[in-house]
Amino acid sequence: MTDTRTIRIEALRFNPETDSAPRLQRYDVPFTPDMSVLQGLQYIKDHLDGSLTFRWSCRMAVCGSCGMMINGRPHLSCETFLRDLYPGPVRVEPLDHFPVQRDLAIDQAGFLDKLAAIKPYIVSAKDKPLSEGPSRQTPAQLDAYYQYSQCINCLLCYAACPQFGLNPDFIGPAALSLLHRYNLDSRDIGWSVRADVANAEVGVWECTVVGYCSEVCPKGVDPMHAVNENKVNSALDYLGVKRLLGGR
Amino acid sequence: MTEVRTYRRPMPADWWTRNPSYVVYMLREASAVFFFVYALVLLWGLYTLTQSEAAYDGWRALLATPAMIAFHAVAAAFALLHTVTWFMVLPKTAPTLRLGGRIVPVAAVVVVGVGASAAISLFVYAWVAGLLPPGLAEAVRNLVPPGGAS
Repeated sequence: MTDTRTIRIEALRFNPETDSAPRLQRYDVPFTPDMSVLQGLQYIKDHLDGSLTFRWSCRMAVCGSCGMMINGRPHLSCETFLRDLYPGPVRVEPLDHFPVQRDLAIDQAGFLDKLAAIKPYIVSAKDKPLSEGPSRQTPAQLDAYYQYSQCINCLLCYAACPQFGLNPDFIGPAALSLLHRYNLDSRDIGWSVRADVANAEVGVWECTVVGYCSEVCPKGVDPMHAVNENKVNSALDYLGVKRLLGGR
Repeated sequence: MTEVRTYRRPMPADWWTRNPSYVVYMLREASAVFFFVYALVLLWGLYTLTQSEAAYDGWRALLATPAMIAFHAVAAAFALLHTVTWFMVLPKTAPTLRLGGRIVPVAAVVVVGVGASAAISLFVYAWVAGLLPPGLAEAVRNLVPPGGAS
C-alpha cells in the first residue's frame, strides 16, 4: 500500500560565499508515513536541490549529527517524523545559538574546544599496564555515571539553553554533563584537573536553571542535574572540603 | 586552519516568548519582584506598629484598598507559581536522593514537596485564623513558652 502525501518544508539557507544573511527556501516534498524529517531533506537534496547542506550520519539517533531546529524546537531530524508534522509546513533551521556555517550546518568548533577543556577521558591515579587486565566496576559504580555517559554530543541542549545564547563562552550543558560523567567514574581521580572549568564564572555558575536542556535531550541525560549537582561540588571545592575528601 | 565565515543569528530581547518553557522560567524569575514589594509592604506594617496605633490602623486601611488587594492577589499567584516550579526543579538542582539504594523518582520529590508546602501553609493559615480544632489549638498553644507570646 502506498500512502504518499505532500508536505512543505521551509529550510533556512545561507551560503557564506554569496549571502550576507540567511533566507528561507520552500520545497514541496512527497513523503510516506515512515519518512523522517532527515529523509525529507535527503529527498530535497536528491531530487529538488542538490545544494542544500545539512549533516547526518547514522540515521538512528545514535551519532548526534542531524540535530536542528524543527518548527522552532531542537530535535534530531532522524527521529522526528513528517507524518507527525502533517499538514505542515515544517520549518527547519540550524541549531539555535551557534554560528551558521552553511544552510543547516553549524560551526561546532567552539563546542569541541570546550569538550577538550573538560578532559573527557579517565584520569587515573597511576598508569596501569594492559597486562593487568581491565579495571572492574560494580553495577552500583557503573550506575553512578551511566546516565551521563549516554551523551551523544548532538548539541540540542546548547540550542535549548538561552544562557549559552547570551554568552557563547558558557561551557554549557553537554560538556559539563561529560565533566560530571568522568568525575563520577570510580576509576577517575580527575576532579582537581577539571575543577578550574567547573568553578569558572562561565562554568557551572553560569547556569540559571532554565531546565529546557534536560527536556530536549534525546538520550535522557538530564544535563541540568549534572550542572547543578556540580554547583554543590564547586562550593565544597571553594571551601576546601572537596580536596580534604581526596579531591574526587 | 582556514577561517570559516559564519553567520551568527541575533538573539532578540523577546527570545523568552518563543517557548513556553522560557515563559515559565521568566515568570518564576519575575516573581522575585513581587516578593520584594510584598516584603516592603510587610516591613512597612511592622514599622507602623512601632509608631502608634493610628499609624498601624492607617496601614491596615491601606491594605483594604482595591489596588492593594489586587497586588496581593497577583503576588499570591506568583508565590504559587514559584512554589510549584521551585519543587519541579528541586530534583534537578539537589544531589540525587536515594532511599534504600534506589533513586527516589523525580515525581515523588515534586509531589511530596508541593504537598508538604501546601499542608504547612494551610496549617499556619488555620492557626492564625483560629480555625484549628480545639485540641490541636491547645497543643500548639502549649508549644509556646509561658510569657513568650501574647
